[in-house]
Amino acid sequence: MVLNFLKISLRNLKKRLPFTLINILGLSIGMSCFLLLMAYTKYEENYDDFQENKNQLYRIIFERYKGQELISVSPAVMPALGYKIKDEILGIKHMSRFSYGGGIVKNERITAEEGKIFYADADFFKMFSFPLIVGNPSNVLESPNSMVLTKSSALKYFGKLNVIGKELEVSNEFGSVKFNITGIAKDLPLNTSFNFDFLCSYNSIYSGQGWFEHHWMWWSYPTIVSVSNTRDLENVKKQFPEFIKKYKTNPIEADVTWTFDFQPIQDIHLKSDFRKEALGRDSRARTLNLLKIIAILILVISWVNYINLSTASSTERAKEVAVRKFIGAYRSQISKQFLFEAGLINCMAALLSIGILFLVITPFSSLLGLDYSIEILMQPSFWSYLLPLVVFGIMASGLYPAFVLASFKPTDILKSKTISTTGSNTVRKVLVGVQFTISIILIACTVIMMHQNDFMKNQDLGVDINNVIVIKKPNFVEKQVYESRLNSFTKELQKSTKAEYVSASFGLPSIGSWGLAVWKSTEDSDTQQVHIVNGVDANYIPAYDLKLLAGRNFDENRVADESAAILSKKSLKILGIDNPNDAIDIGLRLEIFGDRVFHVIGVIDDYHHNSLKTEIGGMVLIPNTGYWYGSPRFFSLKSNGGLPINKVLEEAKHTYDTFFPGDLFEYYILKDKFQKQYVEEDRNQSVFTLFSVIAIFLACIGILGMSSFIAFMKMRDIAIRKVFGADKFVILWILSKEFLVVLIGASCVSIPVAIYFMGDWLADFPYRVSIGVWHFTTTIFLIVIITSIVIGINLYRSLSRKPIGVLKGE
Amino acid sequence: MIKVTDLEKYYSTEEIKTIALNQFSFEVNKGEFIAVMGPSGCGKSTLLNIIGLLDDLDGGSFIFNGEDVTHYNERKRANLRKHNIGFVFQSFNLIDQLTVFENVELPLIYIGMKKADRKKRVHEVLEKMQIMHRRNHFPQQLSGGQQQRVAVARAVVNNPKLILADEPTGNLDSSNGDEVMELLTELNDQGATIIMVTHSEHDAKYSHRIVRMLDGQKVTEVSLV
Repeated sequence: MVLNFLKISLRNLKKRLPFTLINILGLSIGMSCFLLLMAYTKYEENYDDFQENKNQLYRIIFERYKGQELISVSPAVMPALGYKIKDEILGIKHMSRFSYGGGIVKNERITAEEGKIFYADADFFKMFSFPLIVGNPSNVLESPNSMVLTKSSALKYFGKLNVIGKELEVSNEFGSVKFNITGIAKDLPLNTSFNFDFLCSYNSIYSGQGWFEHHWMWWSYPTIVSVSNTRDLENVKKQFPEFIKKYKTNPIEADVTWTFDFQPIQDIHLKSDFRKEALGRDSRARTLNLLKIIAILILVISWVNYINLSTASSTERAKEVAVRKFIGAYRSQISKQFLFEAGLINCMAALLSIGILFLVITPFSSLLGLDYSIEILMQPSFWSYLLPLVVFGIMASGLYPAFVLASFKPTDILKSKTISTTGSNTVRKVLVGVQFTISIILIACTVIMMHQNDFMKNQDLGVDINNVIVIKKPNFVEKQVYESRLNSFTKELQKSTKAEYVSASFGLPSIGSWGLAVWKSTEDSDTQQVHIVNGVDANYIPAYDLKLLAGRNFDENRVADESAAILSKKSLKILGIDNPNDAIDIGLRLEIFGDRVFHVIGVIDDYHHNSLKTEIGGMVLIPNTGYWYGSPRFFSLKSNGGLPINKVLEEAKHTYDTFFPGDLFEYYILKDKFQKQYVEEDRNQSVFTLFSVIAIFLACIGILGMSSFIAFMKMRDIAIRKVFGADKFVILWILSKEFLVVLIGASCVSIPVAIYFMGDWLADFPYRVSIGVWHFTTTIFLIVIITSIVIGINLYRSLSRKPIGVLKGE
Repeated sequence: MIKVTDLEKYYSTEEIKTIALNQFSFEVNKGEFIAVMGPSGCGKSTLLNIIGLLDDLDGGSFIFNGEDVTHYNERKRANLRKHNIGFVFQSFNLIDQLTVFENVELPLIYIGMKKADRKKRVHEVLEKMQIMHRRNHFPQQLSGGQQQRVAVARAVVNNPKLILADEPTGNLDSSNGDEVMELLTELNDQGATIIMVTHSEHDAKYSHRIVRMLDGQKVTEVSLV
C-alpha cells in the first residue's frame, strides 16, 4: 500500500510540477523562516548555559529607595562591595568583579582599539567554565597587572601562543598600563555575557589605589558571586541588612535605603533591562518575542497555502477519488493517500529548507547585527525542532485537504464532472482572509516603523551635527604632556584642516557624556537631580550652532570662567527657574566636584544631545580645563566645506602625528555616529521589511491558488457571459469580488491589532509619530496592487480562452 | 441475488424535489444478464448507483446476496463492494497516473491480496483481455476500445459476483463496442451476473432480460431467453 501511495504520489507531483514546486517552495520558505528564527531565539535564550556552575552564579543588583519609591536600580555596584563581601558575608564561595575597560592595546607589532577588554578578580576562572590553554586558573589573575588573553588575541598580537611573561600595554579610562601575560584562554563561545578577549587582573585598576577599594558611592562595577546552593543564598541575603548598615555611612544617602538582589547569570542576557546594563543587551527579549510571533505567522501562512492549493486542485483529483471509491477504497484509505502526499511534500520542503538555511544564515546574521553564523545551525536544539515541525506540518497542512478530498461523493463526480465545494470554498476564503490579515498587520507595522525611524532621523535636533569630524584624544601620551600641548594642537588642527571651528570637549552629542547630580549652591544637597554635565571650550557653542537664550558663551580670556557654567532650558526647569535671565549668576554645585561652586553665565536652548529615543534631559556645560572630569577627550572639527573630507582627514592625521607621535589616530563622522544610535530600530525595520515581503510573497501564492480555483469554477459562467457580450470589467468583477470581501474582512481584523501592537511599540519613544489613517491606506493600497497583479494573471488566462471551447467542454 | 422492493430516491433542492426512483421493484438472479433501458433522466444510473452501493436510498429495501443492505454504513458498503461488485463506465474512468497493470491491480490492493498473487492474477486477466502487451502503458496512450478493455479487466480482476456496466459502449465505435459486448457475454457465460444500463437496442440484445424505465418506474420487463 505504501509503495502504491509513493508511486502515485510521485507521479501526481510530477504531473502537476508547477503546483508541486510552488507548494514545496512555499512550505520550505515558511519552514526556513521558522527554523531560522527559532534557532536564533533559542541560541539567544541559552546564553551561559554551558557554564558548569551556572546555578551557583549570581550578579549583585543594587537598588535604592527613597521611602517606598525606587529611585535607581543598577546592575553594577560599588568597587568596595566586592572587597568586603567575600570576607564578611558567610556563604559566599567566590567573588569576581567583571568590569568593562575597552581601550587601545599596543605592543611592538600592533596598536589597535579593542572592545572586549575586561577586569576580573582572581576567583574568576574558578567560577566560570572558560578553560585555559596555558596558565593556572587559580592564580592567573592574582597579581596586579596580570592579563589572560584568548587564543585568537594572542595570535593577533604575537603570532604564537608561547607568550607567557610577555607584555601588552592597555590604555583606557583607568590609565595606560603594561600588563604581564599570565594565561591563554581557549576562544570563548559566542553566547556568553562574559565575552572577553583580554581579561586583566582587577587589582590593576587605578593601580590598586586604596581610595578605590573603599569607595561606596560609585556604583559602576558588575560583581558576580558564587554560592554553593540556594539555601546558602538565603543565608547570604539575611546577612545583608547588617552589612549595609556598616558601610552606608555617607550623609548624602542618609534618607535612602539600599538593598541588594541576586540575579542568576543566565538572566543577564535577556531578562535585564537596566539603563546602565554593561553586560547584557537591553530590549533583546522584546525583539525575540516579536521574531517568534513572526516565525509562527509565516509558518501558518505557508501551511494555509498548502491547504489552499491542495483543495483548489481538488477538481483535478476528484475523478481519481471517485474511481478508488467505486473500486472499494475506504474513505480512510483515500485520506491516507492525501496525507501521504502532504508528508512527501513536507519532507521535500524540509530538505530544501535546510539548504536554504545554510545559504541565508550568514546574511541573516549580519542583518541582525550578529557575528555568528553556521554555529547556530550546529546546535542540537536546532535539529530537535525539525522533526516535530515536519510532523506537525503534515497534520496542519495535510489533514484538511485529505478530509475534503476523501469526502467527495463518487456518484456526484462522475455524473456532473464537477464537485460541490461550497463548504470548502468558505474555508478557503477564511484561510485567505487569515493570510491577508497577517500580511496587513506585518506591512502596517513596517510602514509605521519606517515612519517612526524616519521621523527620529530627520527631526530638527536643535544642534548642527553636519560636517563634523571627531578625533579622539591620544591614548599613550602622558597626561601632563597631553594637557600642555592641548591648546597648540587645537589651534594647529584648525589651521591645517581649514576648519571653521575646532572644539575640544569631554563629551559630544551621542558620545561619552555623563550624568551627574546638580543642585543650587544655596539649597540643600537633597534637591539634587541628574543633569548631563559636559566639559567644553568656547568653540563648542558656535561649532554646534547652539542657541544662546540668555547671558554669554565661555571666554578663554576670563580667568573667572574656570568656574562658570552654561545651562540648558530644561536644566532651568529642573532647578525651578522660569526665566533664563534669572539664572545668570546663580551658583551651582556638582556631584564629585566637592565644595566648588559654578556660576551660571549663560542659558542655551534645549537640543537633542542623544537620540530621540531618550527624552531631552538637563544639560550643564562647564569649562574643559582644571578638573579631571571634563578634560577634553574629543576634538570636533566643524568644516565649512573648504577642503574635501579626505584632505581634512589627511591634514588632521598629519597634525595629530606631529603632536602625539606613535599614538593611534581615531576619528568618527559625527552624523554617522549619531545615527548609529538607531541601529536597533534599523535592524527591527529590516527584519520586519524582510519578513513582510516573505509573508506577502507566500500570501500571493495563496491568492494565486484561490483565484485559479475561482477562475476554474467560473469558467462556464464567464464563457456564457462572454457569448452574450460581457466585457473585461464584468469578468474582472466576477473574479475579484470575493477577494474584495475577504480584504475588507481582513482589514477589519488586522487594523485594530496593528494599532494595538504599534501603539505599544511607539509608547517607548518619548518623541513619536501618531498612528494615522494613511499608514493603513498605504498598506491596503499595496495589498490591492499586489492582489490585482496576481488576479490579473488569471484574468488574462480566462479572457484568452475561447468561450465556445469551454462550453463544449474542450 | 438482488432483490429491490419499492425503491425510492429523491434529489432535492431548496425549491424542487425531483423523483429519480419511484416505488421501483425488481429481482435479479445469479448468472443473469440484465439490460436496463430508458430515456435520459429516467433513473437508470441512479438505480445502478444504488445497486452498486454507491448511493443511499430514501425508501424501500435492498437485499444483496440474501443480506439486507438497506441501512449499511459507508464502510460496510465499501467492504461489500470491493469483494463483490465490479464497475464498467461509459467514460472508462481509469486513473491517468497509473499504468494499465496498476489500474487493474488496484482492486486487489484494496482487498489486501499479496503482491505475488496480485501480479499473477493481473497477468491472467490482461492475457484474457488481450492487452498484456500494453500493461506498462498509461491510459492516455491507448485507444478507446483498449481503455474499455482495461476497465473491464479491472472490473473482473477480483472475480466479482456482480458486474455493473453503465453504457459500456457509449464512447466506442461499433466494432470496438461489439468486442466489449462479446467480452461481457463471455464473462456472463463464466458465471458473472451483469446489470447493464444502455441506450443501444443492439447492445441490449446481448442480455437475457430487458427492463425499460420511465420517470423512475419500471414500465416493461421483456425476457429474451
